[in-house]
Amino acid sequence: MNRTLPLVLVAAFALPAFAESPADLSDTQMAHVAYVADTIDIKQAHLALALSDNKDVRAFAETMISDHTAVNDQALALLAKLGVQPEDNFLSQSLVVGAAETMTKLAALRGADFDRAYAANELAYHQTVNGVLADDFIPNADNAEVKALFAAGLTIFKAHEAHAEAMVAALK
Amino acid sequence: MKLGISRRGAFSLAAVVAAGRAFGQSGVVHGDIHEVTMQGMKFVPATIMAKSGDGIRWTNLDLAPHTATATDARWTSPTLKKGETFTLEVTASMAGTYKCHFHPQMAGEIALLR
Repeated sequence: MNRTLPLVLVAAFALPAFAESPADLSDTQMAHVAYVADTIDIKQAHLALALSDNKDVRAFAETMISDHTAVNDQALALLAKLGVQPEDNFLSQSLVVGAAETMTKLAALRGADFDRAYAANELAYHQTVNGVLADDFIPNADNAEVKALFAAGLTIFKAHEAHAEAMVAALK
Repeated sequence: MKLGISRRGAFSLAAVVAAGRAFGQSGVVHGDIHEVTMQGMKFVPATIMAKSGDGIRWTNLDLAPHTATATDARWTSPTLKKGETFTLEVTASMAGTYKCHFHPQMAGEIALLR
């Protein structure tokens, strides 16, 4: 197992010295981060479905696709209702870079090595994303509906984190 | 036995028929209807106390899709998106625990009253 994999995405949330804090992002910037984070998890789930034969890993990946797609659909609907566009920013850019590195590393693995690395990455990813949502986005979002969507997403993603934690334990 | 899935404002008769066929059940619920919401990644209430012939109506209030699926896979709802409902008549064989197929941490129980 490549135990360094989760650190790639965790590092994506680590702030360069020159960057602003996630808490300083505007609602449309936070929304872009959330959308990108969802999209990354969906892509990694598709990779899991392509590479894993483990039924529990595949079930988890299918759940990630359906849940993150549902959240993103709701986010797009809300942004359309508000008449605003998601805005690219340093954090979503860092996420994209980190995710590309993770995808490359995951795609090189097979069998149980892939399953363990995917599960560990999912756990670390959800822990990190959930921390940003809880500590930075939800307290600092200005729009009540955006705040509520983040809160609804966090409830779902906490369940994902618990699911991933169980998956990691089962794959040891 | 009554079995149906609905979405507010966009009810699909085809979905009702498909759901009925999928689980081989048809008919009308003659007893009480017990409401269960899927919200906050939980079944609320977690435990339903019902008699044979009562109905249980699940309504998904979460963004995430959910099912109500017997732990032993003896019965299941179809996948319910936000706002969709599903009603199932209680039978003796349904007593026991159930979960969401997608989110195994979501746990519910049907306790049978005699």
